[in-house]
Amino acid sequence: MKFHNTTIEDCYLIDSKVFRDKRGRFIKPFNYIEFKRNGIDFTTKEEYFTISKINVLRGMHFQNPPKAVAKLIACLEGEVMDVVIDLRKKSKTYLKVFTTRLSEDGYKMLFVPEGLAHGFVTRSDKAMMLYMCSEVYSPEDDNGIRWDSIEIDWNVTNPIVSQRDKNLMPLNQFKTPF
Amino acid sequence: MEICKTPLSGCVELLPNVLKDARGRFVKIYHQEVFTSLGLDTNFTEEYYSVSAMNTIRGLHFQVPPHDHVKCVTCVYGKIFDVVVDLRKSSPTYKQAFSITLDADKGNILYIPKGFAHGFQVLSETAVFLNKTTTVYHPESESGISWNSCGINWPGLKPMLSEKDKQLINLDNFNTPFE
Repeated sequence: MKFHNTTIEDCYLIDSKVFRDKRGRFIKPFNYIEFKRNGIDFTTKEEYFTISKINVLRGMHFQNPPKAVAKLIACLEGEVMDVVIDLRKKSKTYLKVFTTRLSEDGYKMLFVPEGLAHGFVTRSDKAMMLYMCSEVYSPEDDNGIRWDSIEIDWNVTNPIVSQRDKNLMPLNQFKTPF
Repeated sequence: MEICKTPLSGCVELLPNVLKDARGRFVKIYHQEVFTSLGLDTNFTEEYYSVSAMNTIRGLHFQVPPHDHVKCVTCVYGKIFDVVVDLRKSSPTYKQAFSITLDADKGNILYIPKGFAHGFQVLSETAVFLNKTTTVYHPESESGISWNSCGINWPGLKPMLSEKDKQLINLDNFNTPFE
């Protein structure tokens, strides 16, 4: 397991070990001890997966403190463009955006610390994303900012976005709780 | 999340809610408080997945004490025939096998306590199998029994196995370390 810095503080791209043989592949995205060795005390309290069609855009999501969540995100099938933005006022990389391709053959995961908003857009016909979360879902603390209010090129026309995600607040009207 | 008993004590099937809309599906496969309220272990320290071709068998695996662990397995893509064998000497179902189909469309999960061997065979073109465990991998504690020594009626005709899995010991010759 190799941890790589990204352009956002405390946010890492992680290479998982892949074993291949005639049966297929074996991939280990999480090992508590290896994370700890790399300075990340991560435990998973909630876990879910999503299956999304091409051009589906989900985001940009986070939970407010004290229920803020760190997430470990992997793409198990297909390909997505994954996006995070730093919402931590005191961070050196406040409001910086980081994008990366996550795919079934990349074996990279993204570790997203507390205080970042996260989203993605599906690039393949179908994509499966797995999320391991350090805190459970808390409806009252569930929050987000609108996907098209941050300065990145999503490289998609007419993405499929839920009504809830469409109604999120734009970044320029948003007061960060972090 | 709904919980269903199996014939083997402590081993349960979990049925999560599957939310569907225009974008696709959303499935919550783990929630610490829900697991706690169901009396299940929540101390998961390692997680891995495998991608396997049709008819592949992986198993039957476990770690011996004191590095033995609970497994929480699910199929997030495709369909698998999932099997556990009770290796607990004092259990009324000692040496009994239980099988269940794990299907990505249902998102059903098998929660496997300590003292079981586990394996599966792929029923779909490919399958992505996901597993969480309560101890990390410990090579010296890794153990297994032979897939065809436990009276399991495997559904796939041409099983594909690793050399290592082919050489595992038969259940009858296995001296179980689980009480």
